Amino acid sequence: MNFIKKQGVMGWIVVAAVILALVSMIVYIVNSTTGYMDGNAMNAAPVILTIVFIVGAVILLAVSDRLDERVSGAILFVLSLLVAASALVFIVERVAVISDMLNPVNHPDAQVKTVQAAIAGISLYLVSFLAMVVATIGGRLAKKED
Amino acid sequence: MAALQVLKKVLRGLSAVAIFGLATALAAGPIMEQYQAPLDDFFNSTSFEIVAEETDQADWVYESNFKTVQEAVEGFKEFAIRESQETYVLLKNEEQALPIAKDASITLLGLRAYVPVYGNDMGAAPDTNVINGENSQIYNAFEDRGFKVNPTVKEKYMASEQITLKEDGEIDASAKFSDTAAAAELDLGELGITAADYSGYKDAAIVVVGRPGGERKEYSVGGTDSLTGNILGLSQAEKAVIEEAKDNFDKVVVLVNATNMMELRELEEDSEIDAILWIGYPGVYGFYGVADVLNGTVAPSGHLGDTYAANTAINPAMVNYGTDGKNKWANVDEFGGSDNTNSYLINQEGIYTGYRYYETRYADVVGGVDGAAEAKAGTYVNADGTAATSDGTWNYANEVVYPFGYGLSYTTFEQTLDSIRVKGDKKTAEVVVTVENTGDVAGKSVIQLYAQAPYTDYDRENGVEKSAIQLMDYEKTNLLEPGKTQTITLRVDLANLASYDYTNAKTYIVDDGEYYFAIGDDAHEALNNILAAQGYTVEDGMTANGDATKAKSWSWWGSANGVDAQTFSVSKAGVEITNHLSEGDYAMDINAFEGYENTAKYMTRADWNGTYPEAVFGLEAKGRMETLLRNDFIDFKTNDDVSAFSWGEDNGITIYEMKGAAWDDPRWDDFIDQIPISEFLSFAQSAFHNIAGIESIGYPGNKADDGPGGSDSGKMADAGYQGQAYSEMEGYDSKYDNYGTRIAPTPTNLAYSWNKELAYENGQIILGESTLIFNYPIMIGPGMNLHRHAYNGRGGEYYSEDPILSGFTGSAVVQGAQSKGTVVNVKHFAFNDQEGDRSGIAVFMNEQTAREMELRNFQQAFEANGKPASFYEDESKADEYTVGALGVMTSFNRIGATAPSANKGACVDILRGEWDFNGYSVTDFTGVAPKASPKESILYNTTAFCGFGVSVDYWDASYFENDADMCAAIKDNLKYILYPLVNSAAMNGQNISSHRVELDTPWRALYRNAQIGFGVAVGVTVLGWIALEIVGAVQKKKEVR
Repeated sequence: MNFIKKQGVMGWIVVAAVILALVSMIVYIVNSTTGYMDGNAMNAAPVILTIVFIVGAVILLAVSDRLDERVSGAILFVLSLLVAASALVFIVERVAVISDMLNPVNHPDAQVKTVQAAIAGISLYLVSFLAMVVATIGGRLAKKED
Repeated sequence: MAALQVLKKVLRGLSAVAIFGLATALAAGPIMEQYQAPLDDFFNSTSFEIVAEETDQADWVYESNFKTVQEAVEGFKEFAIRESQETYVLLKNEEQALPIAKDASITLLGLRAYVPVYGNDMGAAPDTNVINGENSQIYNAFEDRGFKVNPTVKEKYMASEQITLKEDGEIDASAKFSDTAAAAELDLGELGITAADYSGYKDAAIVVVGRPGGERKEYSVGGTDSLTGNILGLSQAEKAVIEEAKDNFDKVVVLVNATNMMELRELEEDSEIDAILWIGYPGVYGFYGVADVLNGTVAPSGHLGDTYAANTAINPAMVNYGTDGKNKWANVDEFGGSDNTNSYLINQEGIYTGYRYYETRYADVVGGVDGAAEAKAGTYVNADGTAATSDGTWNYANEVVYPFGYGLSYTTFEQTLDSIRVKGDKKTAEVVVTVENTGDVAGKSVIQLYAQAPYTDYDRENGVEKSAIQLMDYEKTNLLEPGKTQTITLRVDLANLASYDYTNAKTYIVDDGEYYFAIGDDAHEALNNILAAQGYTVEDGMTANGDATKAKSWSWWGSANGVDAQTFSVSKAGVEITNHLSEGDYAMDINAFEGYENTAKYMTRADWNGTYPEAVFGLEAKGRMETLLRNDFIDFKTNDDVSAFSWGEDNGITIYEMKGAAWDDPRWDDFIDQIPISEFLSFAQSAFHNIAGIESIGYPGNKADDGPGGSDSGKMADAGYQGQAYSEMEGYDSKYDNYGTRIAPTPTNLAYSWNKELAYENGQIILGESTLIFNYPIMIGPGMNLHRHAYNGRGGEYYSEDPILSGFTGSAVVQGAQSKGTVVNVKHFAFNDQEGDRSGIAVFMNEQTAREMELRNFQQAFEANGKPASFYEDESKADEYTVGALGVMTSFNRIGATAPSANKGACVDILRGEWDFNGYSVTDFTGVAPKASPKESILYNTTAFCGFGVSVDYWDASYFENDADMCAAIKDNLKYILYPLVNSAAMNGQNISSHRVELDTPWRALYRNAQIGFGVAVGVTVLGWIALEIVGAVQKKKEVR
């Protein structure tokens, strides 16, 4: 069975999680290097963690039908933690700029947009994580062979 | 088996959730600890206290006046009312319409009579808990003082859907009309108010008109239905209410409830308006003071601290005013958001703001200076105050409604200029004035002492501008009964008369020539007195003949080339004064930057019409300017010899051992050598409502608060006397739990009192007592930016258009606050005069303007100038005015092209050098972000960054420790931090045994319980999952067998 045809419901959930994480990572990179954050040093951790997650998830999707459920379940567990860690670092990195919004001063539009994009990116990471949690509970990614 | 499989998978998934939760909770702990102050504000909690094992009375260096909550509430109230009584300015009083009888039956009209503006929003907002708790509405205050207030009209106003009431039926003070785009007013017809409703309450109509103000508020020019089109003119709706009053009442009194200078010509000229009383923003209790003035309990003694023009939009300073995007840098889109680069502001009007413009041009018109009266269309006003649309003649009487310093009383005073004596070194003068109350009621009189310096050929050739009149000093008399006199000696600092010559002498100069001192009831009258002494009369175009006996002249002579560039070329601290804002990176003169030569064309009185400013729009940020605007312009050095600097030494000296240490105490070096750079950085990054601790010296940190008008966040539930909470004392009344201390009239009101002693007391009580009862050693205030124009919505938080009135008022507040142990943060240093684009706007002007206006204003507070005459005769005040302000907060706007805290010329050369400022310097809510230019700011002696978090990648000791200049700056900064602290109320009640104790708070419980909960969840889910995996494996093995 080819890669696409063999994916079960949980497999597609992982695919969705991968896409969401990829978008989140792009948002993170853009959010960290442009607009209000332009000129600031970017913490590479979310990028590294997300790339490892994506590579790991793709490999898992490719070989999950050949893996014991316990092994694939454990890998899903680890992968979900990678997404969670990415989200957490993104949050920590943006606490300062979001907290700054609590002070009623004139906030430049760039800051408002940065905060809005950061909240969107973090939300996507969290949705990706929840998808991975669902997949971790579901366990089996590939369709059952008849 | 299947169920176990499902359970195992669920536990696997929940394990991930639990681990994420635990990680989040663990990360949240230190983050929440970093944000203690806002969390404490939000949860109304206290996160730490400083505890001494054994204390005695001697440990309490500073003592509060208030030993119980009742004393505190009553003490603040008593002062607020007393202060307010002196701040109101009687502008008009035809046929002694005021005072009115104490039991007069009156009708209150106008929305602001029911929803008044108590004070500025946000930064200095009066405490609505107190207003609502005390029901401090106008009508209640007036009735409390004996007036009978029309209940029918009141009820009809309160029935309006637009007015919010509390449960008890009183006006809700928090439901204010705070829009600055249009004047708030209600239609009397729609309210159902008719002439019949006034029956029985027709002794007087009191009409209240007002404009709101506050942080982030800004007024725009034009676009309204007022006569001039300006928002500061009376709207048609307001005029309709006034017409209704005129039609139905024999006596109409208008109260002006605004701190932005409103356009009052129509009221002044209307013969049916009997009286006008400026009340500014009276604060929580100030309407009792208004009643006291209206009914004659107190004779008004306030005087305007700003010029009230007929058209607030037509003056040179307004040319470059703008928040409509016109003065954006043309290439602003090329900058990153964190560059904090938006627009620029060029003060081409030079020193000619406020009365310096109107009075000087008037003097030149009278003096017959060629072209002084010629005016281009749009630069002058018609007789009715509207903007002239064709070239014509500039006429003072058209321009100014009420001059700077104006104010009437219920009595009359005769002031006599007895003598002037210029001291031998020419640096000071003594001026003796006698005041006699020649009227029928008791009152206080303000002595306003002005001076005039000659405008010479040298000045014209070198671009030195001179105001024809400038305030030098002032004093307020005691309460004088009719027929009584008081003689006061004013000790005048002649440095304030010197002019800054930034082009040739590059220091302060005094021209040889004839100088004048004059007294007068306002700046215009004083100028007329000088003009009279010079031989001018109404025949020469004067608005009135002056009194030559109230002006005295003296000569300055014998200087080389006719210019004395020596006498004021060295500061009081012994530092040579020379250009610091005219060349290089820190220039405020935009013409000094390569590629911007001749951009600014500064106004000169040598050619009023020809140099009237024209707006400069569309500038592009380029070259060095662009580099500076990006806030990163000094690189770390990596190979310096830094062996002379010691960090983290174990010298065994705690901060409490340094309590009360003098600046030259020999222990300072050993004390500071204990602190590693990392602890300084940690301290510097955490300055909001909590000031971070420094572990190596046992400094536990302190609370701080935003306090131009009292404590922002302190409530009586948290207050106490010498370590004992009021709430734990017998007789405590919990109704005061949420009462704060922001209750006084706004700072503009305080300045309009022209009373230095009152300002000192304001500092003692409003800032000082807030420090002591709430244990907030650092209070962010007072606000001392000048009123450059009428349109700054935050102007009420500042004092005046004049650097001496503002400077001496601020200096007195600082002295009063410091006498109670407060570390003040005088703000916003410097040049902040508009809220629009305030964060990042680049402010440019020539160095004469900078030094003679905004900086001369701040200088008074940092040099402890302006000591009241009465303090010289009071031995108990001998120690006052000996140390200047020990704290400063920089501005949001840039000084020139650099972040304000990174402008070496302003922050190091002038503030710390010339003025010998040895205190704490904090940014205004920047955090350690690129917009604060953090490394440059550290280098230039910024000691802390207010705000949240670090967003630069170099905030680590490794970047600073190999740069000798940075190391030296950090050593200096640590002393600048600790010297004020060890001499402040931060040490009050403390001794060598003192230490910090963390307290339980709801937010700490939140993250700790989350850590515990998620920790348990991780244990249960992970262990459960593993256990089920093992069980599953065992089962599988059995099945295989």
